[in-house]
Amino acid sequence: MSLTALAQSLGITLKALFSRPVTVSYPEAPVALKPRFHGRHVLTRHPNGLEKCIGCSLCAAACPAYAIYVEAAENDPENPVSAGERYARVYEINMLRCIFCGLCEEACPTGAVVMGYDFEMADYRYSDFVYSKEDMLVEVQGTKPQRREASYTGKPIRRGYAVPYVRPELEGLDAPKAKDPSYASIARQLGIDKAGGER
Amino acid sequence: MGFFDDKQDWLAEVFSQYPERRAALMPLLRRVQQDEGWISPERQEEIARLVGTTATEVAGVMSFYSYYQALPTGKYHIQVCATLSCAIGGADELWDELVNELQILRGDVTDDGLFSIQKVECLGSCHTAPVIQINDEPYVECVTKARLRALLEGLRQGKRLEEIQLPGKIGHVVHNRGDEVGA
Amino acid sequence: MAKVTVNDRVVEVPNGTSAMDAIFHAGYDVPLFCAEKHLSPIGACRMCLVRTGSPRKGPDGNWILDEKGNPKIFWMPKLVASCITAVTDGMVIDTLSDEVKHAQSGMVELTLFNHPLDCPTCDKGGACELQDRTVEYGLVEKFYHPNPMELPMYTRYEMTRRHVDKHHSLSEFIVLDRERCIHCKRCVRYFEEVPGDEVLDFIERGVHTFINTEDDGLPSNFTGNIVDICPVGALLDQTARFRARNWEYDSTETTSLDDASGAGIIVDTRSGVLERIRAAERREVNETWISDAARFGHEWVGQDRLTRPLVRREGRLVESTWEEALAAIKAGLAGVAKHEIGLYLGGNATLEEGLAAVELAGALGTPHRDFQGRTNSPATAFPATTFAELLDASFVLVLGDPSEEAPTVHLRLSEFSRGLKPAAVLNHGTPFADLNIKERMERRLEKMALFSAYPARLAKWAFVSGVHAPGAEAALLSALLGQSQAVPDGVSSEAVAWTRSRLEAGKAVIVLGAAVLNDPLAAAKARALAEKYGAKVMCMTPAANARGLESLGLYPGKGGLGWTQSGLKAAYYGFLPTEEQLKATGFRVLHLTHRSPLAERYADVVLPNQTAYEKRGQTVNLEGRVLPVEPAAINNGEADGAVAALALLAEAAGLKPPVRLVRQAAKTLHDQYKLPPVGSLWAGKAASFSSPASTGSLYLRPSMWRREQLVGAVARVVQVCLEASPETARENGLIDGAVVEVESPAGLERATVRVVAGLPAGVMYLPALGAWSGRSLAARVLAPVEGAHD
Repeated sequence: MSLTALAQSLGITLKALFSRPVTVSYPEAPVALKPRFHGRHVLTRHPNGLEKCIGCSLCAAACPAYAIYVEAAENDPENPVSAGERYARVYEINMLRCIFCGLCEEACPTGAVVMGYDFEMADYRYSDFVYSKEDMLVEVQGTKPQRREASYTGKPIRRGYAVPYVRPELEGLDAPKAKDPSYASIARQLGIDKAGGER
Repeated sequence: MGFFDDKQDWLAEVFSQYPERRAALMPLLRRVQQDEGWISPERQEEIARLVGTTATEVAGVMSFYSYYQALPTGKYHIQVCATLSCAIGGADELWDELVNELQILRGDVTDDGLFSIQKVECLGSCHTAPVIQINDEPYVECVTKARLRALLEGLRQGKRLEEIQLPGKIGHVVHNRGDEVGA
Repeated sequence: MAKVTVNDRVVEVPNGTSAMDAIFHAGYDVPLFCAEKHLSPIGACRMCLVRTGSPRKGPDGNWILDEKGNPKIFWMPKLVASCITAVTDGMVIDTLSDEVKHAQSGMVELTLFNHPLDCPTCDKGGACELQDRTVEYGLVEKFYHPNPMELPMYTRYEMTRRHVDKHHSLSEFIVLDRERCIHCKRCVRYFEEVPGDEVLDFIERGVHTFINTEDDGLPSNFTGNIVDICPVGALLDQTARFRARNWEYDSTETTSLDDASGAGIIVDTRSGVLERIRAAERREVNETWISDAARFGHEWVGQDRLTRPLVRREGRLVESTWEEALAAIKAGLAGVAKHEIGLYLGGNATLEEGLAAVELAGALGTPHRDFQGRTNSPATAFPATTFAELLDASFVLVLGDPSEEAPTVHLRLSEFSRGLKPAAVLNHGTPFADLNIKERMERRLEKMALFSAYPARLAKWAFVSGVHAPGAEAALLSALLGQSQAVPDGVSSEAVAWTRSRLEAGKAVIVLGAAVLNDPLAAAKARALAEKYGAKVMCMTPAANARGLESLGLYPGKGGLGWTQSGLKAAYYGFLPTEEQLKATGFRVLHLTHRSPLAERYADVVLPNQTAYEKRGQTVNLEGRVLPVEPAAINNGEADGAVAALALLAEAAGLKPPVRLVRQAAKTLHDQYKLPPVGSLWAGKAASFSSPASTGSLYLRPSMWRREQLVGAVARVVQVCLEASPETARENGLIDGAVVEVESPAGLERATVRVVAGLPAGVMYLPALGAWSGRSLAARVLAPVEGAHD
């Protein structure tokens, strides 16, 4: 072993001593997620507000854990829920069964169900893990326990993550932003998140 | 009163020409079309009753042939060939021009009762595309927008088709009708 | 037999078999859209293109040989549609060559040209023939990816597709999506060939072609079958619209107990709810067709079910348990002699339930046992006739209305009138392209005569037909027997003479409706007629399992009261009896599937019953065929069948229940009654009973719909009409279009008056909607009082 090698390794130690620690003090500080993190599902909407989900059950068919249950119904032409003839009257995902593999997202022909970022879903009762449409639509923030807590305390929902940018499939999702310069060029290319920045 | 009530002899003659009554559907339709210019739902019912079939089948046969009209037509029923050669030759532009000029669509008749328009399948004069046919008259061929306008103008003035002078080098009317068939 | 070489296999098929069926018979596959079992092959879709060749004989009469000395194969210059090509001896069929594959993939491409890509919202998705054929034959790698150095060409569709009417309701039951139609013409051919109601046709031509009708709401009893045969999602069941995807249904194959013909059905449920019914293929019985009543009349099953027993406490029925119901029945039966307890089952009871009732009646020593819809004279007095024998007959005399009484008989008579015989059975089952069936085959009218008490649809296929007054069946049969010269009004003596001459020719089948069976005199004469001419008899009973229950002996013993009578101290009813009957009964145990106002008012104990879709057991159809009844996955709470209810009744009466379990009953049936396995024919014991025919001015004409089915879409389609001729209407003060209430022993019925010219005078007609079918009853017509009755 040569002296130079010793100096090199000591150099690394010294560098690490004076650089910022990588440890995240979650839950005090938000954890930085990658944009393609597989979190709690989001049911997205078209820009005109109609749900993208047409209740075709292909996600349920693709699901390896049998976690999804869909019941469809016919749209009222006067007051449609989704674009087209059919919408999901019932859309439920059992988050205890879900393995967050993202096959539902792959199977979805309209891009309605997309893996989002929420992961803090720890709860007490089995039934609380069955997320219905009202818990997953794109405008809904946070998970069931988070929203329950917020309604008790009256404080805003506090989500324990931040993402450098929200991927385009999740259009309309309001997620906490993380500052990560390495993503700046990608975000620019995708034409999203021009401001960026940490909240 | 039914259309065929006073034509019993003619009916008997037509029916006698076919092995079964259902086969006489076409001559009956043709007779009504010739005499009345279109075949109303009541006439369709009557024919269905006479030949022993359903109104649905009469409607099916009628709609197969563009000759039969289920809606009233004008004095000059303009049929624009829209099949391949004519379509390449500009039948769609011609149709748009007609719609603009006359301000009517398929099924309408102009306010003066003169014109109605229809797209039809191949008229069989592909070498002179695009082709239009007015009523049962000889074809008007190689129709350009200018020739179409001149044609409409002539018809509005009450001229007969042969009398209308169309611009362009090509002869304006080609007599290539087959012999009249049937009744 | 013709020897055919399919690719590398040599098979023998009967002469006249289509090339398509020879290919399937050999175990190879060929894609198809327009060919369908029991329909004529027409070669409309061009999907089944194959290359065929045949050896030829030279002028010397010998086979022309090739260099090797084998018969030389002369290949057809172009590919042929295999469905309309008959095989010849020595034919060679090639389905695997590049030329064939290329043509087939090209046809898939053309078929998809204007087909919308809305599979995710299409109810056919997952069970769609177009989807399947596209996967199997759409992309042949050799053609779409010829060069491994380049990207494969998956699609050439870069243009907009045809856009037309996507949601066109053909009727309350069927919705048509014209964009999805691929013009296979199956539905058009079906209507013309099978039920004979030509209500659909192609309109326009070329790319503009679409299916349409000029009739309002498809006037036919058999419209639903087009949903099954549509190869794409163009024709869909409106009652099951968007209920579930095809792979999500729990499917159960069972027997329809809506009528006595025993048609096979597939019951589709999801999450414990009955969502859809399809036809099951049962070659011997219903082939692949079922009636609309069997298909669409299921909405009532899930609505407001009775899921727990009800016991009357302080004048009100309250939900309780089976144990409490047992105690209540025990209390109610105290002081009632065992032989005074009546046991009455529904007409769709299974053999097991019938056996339980018969055994319990024996243990109780009661003669009061019966099933709803039992006719006044037994159907088992006539040896059963199978549908195969019906097709084999040279003449059929129909006394009744098969389209309403046993719809399957209508469909089999359709084959009969076209002179078709049961199709050959090949390795793959029924031929897909049976070349014996042709479009617009001539109906052989000289093979049928039809007389009925109400105008019947099938009269169109009968050489002679007549509408006589209800109750004139015996007189008509006397005339047919030659016992009297007089013929009833509405039937000409020439028609009778012609029918007699045809009967004399032999090989006849007589189809009897409920009206004849309900008149013991007419039934006896029918028996005499059958014996005289050696004719076979088919009985269309109002009760689905009449033949089986009669054979088991479930009819009143000496001094026993029948299902239309009343006056017992205690009775168990497996159906809802009339108000009069309930009033006249002392202690009433009802076993019902649904709550009802009558039960609410009169019942002492109501037990939750299973519908015909939830039972397990066996039934016997009008051919005497034993058929399976399987339970579908329907959530019915604590409901149980008659076997359990009768066991409860036995315990309450202080007896050891003779039958406790369905399997125990099935074993007894097998051991003691010699019940053969499912699918085979059972010559059960002939019953003998006779009660006098009822008379009156109201005739309950047969109808394929039953009272309970009239909810939802069915209620919008089926109008209950009180019909009478103009004179009769005037005499009774009936005004066309008025809403009246008709009071008769069968109960109270609300109906709209319809004056119909040409009906027999002196009679009012009301659809029976159930067990009282084919009976004349005394009736009063009342002006309705709003809200007085439910």
